[in-house]
Amino acid sequence: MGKQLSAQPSKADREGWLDAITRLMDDVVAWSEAQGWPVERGRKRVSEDAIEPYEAPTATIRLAGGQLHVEPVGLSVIGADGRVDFEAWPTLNRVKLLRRQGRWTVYTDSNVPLRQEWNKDAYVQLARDLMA
Amino acid sequence: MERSDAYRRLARVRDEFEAARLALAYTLAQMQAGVPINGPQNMALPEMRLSARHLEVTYLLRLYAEYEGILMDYWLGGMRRRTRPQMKVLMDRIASNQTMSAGNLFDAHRVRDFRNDIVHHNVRDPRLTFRDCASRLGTYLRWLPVRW
Repeated sequence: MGKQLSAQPSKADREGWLDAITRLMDDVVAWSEAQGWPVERGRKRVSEDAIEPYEAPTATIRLAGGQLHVEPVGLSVIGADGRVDFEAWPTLNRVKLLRRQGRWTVYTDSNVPLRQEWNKDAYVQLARDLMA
Repeated sequence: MERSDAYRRLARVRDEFEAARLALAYTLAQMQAGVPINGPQNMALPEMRLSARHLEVTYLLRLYAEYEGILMDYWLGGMRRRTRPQMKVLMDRIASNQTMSAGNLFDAHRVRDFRNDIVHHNVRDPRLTFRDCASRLGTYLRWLPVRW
């Protein structure tokens, strides 16, 4: 994992980030609903040092045994161009989706990347694993 | 308090732990590579290594303290009790009140045992990981009402 914070984001970076997380949430919602998992969409205010505060989409997915919370953390993170967390309650298991060059990669809390394409199958498996 | 607040309190400790672990690992790597990063405290490499080795146990105590605070909040505010029982009794009474699964209670007690070994018997080798502990304590909290 890189050790540098990305350079000061531009307005275009911010727009690109908001577009990326909106598309990610849309995918997560669609993939969840295809599994029959109820989804509640939400919004959160994200404050980062380098850019103006903004509203970002969130999602809460109800699975057998708990809930999965999908929340953007920010665009300015170490070693990536944005991070979205997937956190399960009650297990408190979590993975981070890091965005690099427009692609999402899943990282465990130990910062180990899961070398698997981010798609519907990966999401469904991940959601179940986080509940276990 | 809401149950979601309880989860967030535990999750915040986890986030601090992860940030501290990253910072320590990075600093240690720099020091081992001979990069002069010492500040006025002149920390020595062995001290940094010791800190890194005990970091998980240190944050486990923080996690448990949050959990303890949440249970006391529920005991006093949710169950309207006025006593301050020991943790074992507190966990058992809440579990009984909420008809909790025996397995979930057992798992949380293992964390309490481990925490007591750390505090009273100077155990430093984590037989349960921070993540195991957070998961067990979070699962116990699942039995609390949505709000109290």
